[in-house]
Amino acid sequence: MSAIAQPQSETNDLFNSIFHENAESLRLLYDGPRLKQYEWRLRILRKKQPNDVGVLVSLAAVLIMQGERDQAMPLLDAAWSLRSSATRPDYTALANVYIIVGNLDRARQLGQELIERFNIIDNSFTLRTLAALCFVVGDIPSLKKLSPLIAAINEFNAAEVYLSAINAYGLAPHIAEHQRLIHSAIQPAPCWYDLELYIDPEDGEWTICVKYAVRCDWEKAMNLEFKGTEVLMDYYKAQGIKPGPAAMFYNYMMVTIPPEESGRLES
Amino acid sequence: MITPFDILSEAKTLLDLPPETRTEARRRTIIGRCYYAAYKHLHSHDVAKGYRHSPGQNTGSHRSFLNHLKESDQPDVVKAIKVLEFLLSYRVQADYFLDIEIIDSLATDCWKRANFLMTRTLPATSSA
Repeated sequence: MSAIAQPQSETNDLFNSIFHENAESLRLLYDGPRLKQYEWRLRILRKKQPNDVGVLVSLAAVLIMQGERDQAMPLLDAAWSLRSSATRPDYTALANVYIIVGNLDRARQLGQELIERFNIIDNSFTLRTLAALCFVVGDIPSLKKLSPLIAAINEFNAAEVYLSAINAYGLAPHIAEHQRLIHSAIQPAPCWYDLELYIDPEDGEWTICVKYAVRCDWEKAMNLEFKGTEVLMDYYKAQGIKPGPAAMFYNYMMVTIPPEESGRLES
Repeated sequence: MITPFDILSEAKTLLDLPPETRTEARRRTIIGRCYYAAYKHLHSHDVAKGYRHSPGQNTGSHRSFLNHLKESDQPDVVKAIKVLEFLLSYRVQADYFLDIEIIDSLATDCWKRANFLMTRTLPATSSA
């Protein structure tokens, strides 16, 4: 093995570490020194591979994780304009970062392009990520396209679970607006998000839980949760729909990253 | 008989242990105590009046209680639901998903939220 890391191999390592290994526990968000180290390594890689979508989106993600959203946005725009050369993982990562910054239109378009461009998707991780993405942006037609693709390879059909949850509450005509309202209400706070889909071990029911990591104190984080729900309740009242069950048909929450643990001051 | 505040107090006792003895197992216990304190508090609150879980219901009692509360559009009840759902999510994670790390600040956050719910959002009522 070479003593000098190859750029592509290093890019893949960093990409996987940022978007996969740390996703569930949000551990990386609490590790200021490691984030800074990743940022530094990615800045060097960017000089070597300025048009690599994986590098651009990884660097944008670590900057957003550190609360440096202004620096990240031009990188996202660059990745967007270069997406014809993006791999499937780059595509899903870029879409997810656009969700974090609240640009659901671009995230939705990336999801749709991914389904069209890679007609046969047989990677279970990509399928799950894509199903989650379509749910978070409220894209029912794409969920419906995904469902048979998933069924064809006998994979766990997350798209069907999301569609069932939406239909159980009669929210198909509202889900896109529902998701847009939440994201408008909580911006620009999120620095990460993670969607969990699991069967509750105690009652055997599917649980959908979207967690947004925010760098602020717990009370501000709670207020963001309340704000999003209030906006939704107002919306459903105006639509003549019982507000509580519709506004809270799945659980979204703000997970606090205390500024002292990230090594950064609260902005 | 103990009260939900006794359960919350136990969580605080564990939370106040020196950091080196606040192990991950203890942090998981703290989150569980916070959830049950908040759940029992709400269960005995006026907002739960009229709620009855039928054994034949097609869902668990905790979820059916939450669904009952979601029928309300009172702002304080909505806040209470959001807090309880946060705690429930992490209680399930703390009890069942041992591969997902529970960090210290999460246990603190859960205690603060439970305490907020029980003392500020929906303080105890006469029927509690």
